[in-house]
Amino acid sequence: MLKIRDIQSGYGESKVLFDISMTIPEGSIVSLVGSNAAGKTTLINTISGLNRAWAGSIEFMGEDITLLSPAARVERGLVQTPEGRRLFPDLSVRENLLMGSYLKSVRGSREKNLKKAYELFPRLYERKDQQAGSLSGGEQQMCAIARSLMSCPKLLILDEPSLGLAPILISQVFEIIQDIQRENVTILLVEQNVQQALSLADKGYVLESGHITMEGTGEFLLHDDGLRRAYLGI
Amino acid sequence: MLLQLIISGILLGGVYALTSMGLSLVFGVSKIINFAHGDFVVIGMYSALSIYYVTGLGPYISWILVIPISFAIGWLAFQLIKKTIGGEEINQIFITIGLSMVIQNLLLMTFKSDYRTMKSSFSSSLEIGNIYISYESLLAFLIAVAVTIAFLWFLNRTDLGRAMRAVSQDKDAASLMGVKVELINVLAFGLGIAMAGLAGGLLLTMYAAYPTAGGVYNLLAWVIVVLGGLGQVEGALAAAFLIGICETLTGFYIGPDFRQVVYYLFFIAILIIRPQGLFSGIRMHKKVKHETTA
Repeated sequence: MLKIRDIQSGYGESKVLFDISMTIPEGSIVSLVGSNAAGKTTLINTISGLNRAWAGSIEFMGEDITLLSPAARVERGLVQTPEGRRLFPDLSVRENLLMGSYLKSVRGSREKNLKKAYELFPRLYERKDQQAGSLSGGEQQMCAIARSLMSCPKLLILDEPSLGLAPILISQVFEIIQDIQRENVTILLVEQNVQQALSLADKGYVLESGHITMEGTGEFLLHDDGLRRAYLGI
Repeated sequence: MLLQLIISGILLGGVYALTSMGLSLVFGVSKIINFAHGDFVVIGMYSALSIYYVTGLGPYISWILVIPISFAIGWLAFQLIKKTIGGEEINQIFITIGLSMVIQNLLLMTFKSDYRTMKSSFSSSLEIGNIYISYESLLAFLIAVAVTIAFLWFLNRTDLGRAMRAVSQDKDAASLMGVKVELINVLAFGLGIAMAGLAGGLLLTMYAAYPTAGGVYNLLAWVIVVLGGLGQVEGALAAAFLIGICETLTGFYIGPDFRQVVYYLFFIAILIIRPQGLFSGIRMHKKVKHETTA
C-alpha cells in the first residue's frame, strides 16, 4: 500500500533522515519504534507531506505522491493523527470532527461517519458541544482519532497515540486501533511504547538516529535481545 | 442628550466593528500584523466617493460594489505581504507601514488633500421623542449589523469559516485535514480588507474622507482589537461599541478634539490593568449564537 524508497529529509541544514526505505502492506498494522529524537515524527511528516523529502520517493497505492501537497494526500486516503492530538482547542468536539471531513471528496459521507464516530466513542457524543480544549487527555486522543476517521482513511498514521495517557487508557487506545484495522484500514503506528506497539504489529521497524536499524515481524523484534536491552530494559 | 449620544455611539460602533473584526480575522488566521488596515478603510471611502461621483449612488447602495473592489485590492496586497508570513514580525510591521505610506501618497496624488464629504440624500432625519437619528447613519448601521451577522454565521456555520478558525488555532493540524492553508490565508486577508473597505464606505455617512485618515483608523482598529483580545473576532465586536460610545460622549462633553485622547487613555489603562484584553476569557460564542438565531 505504501512504499518509501531511500527517503532523506531534515530541517534547514541538518539532515534527520538517511535513506529510509519501508513497505507497508495493505490491511496490516506496521509499528515504527525508536527513542526520542530518532526522527520518527520527521519521517511521518514527510509521508504526510508536511515536510519536503530531500531525496527518494514515496508511492501510495501505486501512485508516486512524493511531490503532492498534504491536502492531495489526505484526498487519496493517507491520513495522519498527529502527536499530541493537535485538536483545535476553541472548536467544539463536533466541529473538530467536522474538520476531519473538510475535503469535498469525503463530505458526502459526513453524516454517516459522524454517526459511526459517536458509536465508536460514546464519550464524544456526550461532550459534542464542549470545547475540545476542555476534554481530558484520553478523551482528546479519542477525539483526534475520531477526527482522522472522518477523513475516510485508507492508511492511518498514528503518532504516539499513547503519549501521556494512564495505563488503562493506553490499552483502550490499542484495542481501538485493532478495531480500526478490522474495518480495513491499514495502520502505521509510531510509538515509544515498544512492548505494546510491537505485540499487535504485523511488522515492525526500528528507527535510530535517522536510520532503520532493524525490521521484521513484531514477534521477531520483541524477542530480539538487542532490542529488548535497548528499549525494554530486560 | 445622553441617550442621543449613546445612540450615535452605537451607530458609529457598528461601523467600527466591521473594521476591527476584519483586522482581527487577518491577525488571527494569517498571523499578519497589518498596520495598513486603516488605509484600506480609506480606500473604501474613496471607492464609495468615486462611485458617487460617477453614478450618483450613495454609500448605502454602493457598498455592494465596495465589497468586491476591496476584496480584490486585499488579494493584491496579500501577494506583497505573504512572503513575510511566519517570518520575523518586525518585517511585517515594516512592510505594512510602507504599504500604508504608499497608499496615502497614491491617494494624495489622485484625490488631492481636500476633505471630501458626500451630500446627504435625505432631507430629514428620524425623530423619536427628542432623539434625532440621521437616516444615513441608521442605514449604514443596519448594513454593518447585517454584514456582521452574515460574517459570524459564515465563520461559525460553514466549512470554509470553520477552516479559517481551525487554521487560526493550528495550521499544521488543519493542513493534515486537507485544508489548503495558503488559500485560507489569502481568503481571510481579502475578506478582512473587504470588511475594512465596506466600513470605510459606510463611515462616509458620518465623517469626511482625506488621504491620510488611514493613520487614525489604523490605530483605532488596533485599539479595538487589543481591547477585545487579540485575534478574538467576537471580542472586537464588543470593544467596537464601547469605543464608539466613548468617542461620541467625549466629543460632546469634553470637546471633539479630545475624542481620540480619551480612548487612548482608556486603552493605556486597560493595557496596564488587563493586558489580555477586556473580553478574552469570556465565552462570547454562545451569546453571539443566540443573537444570530433570535
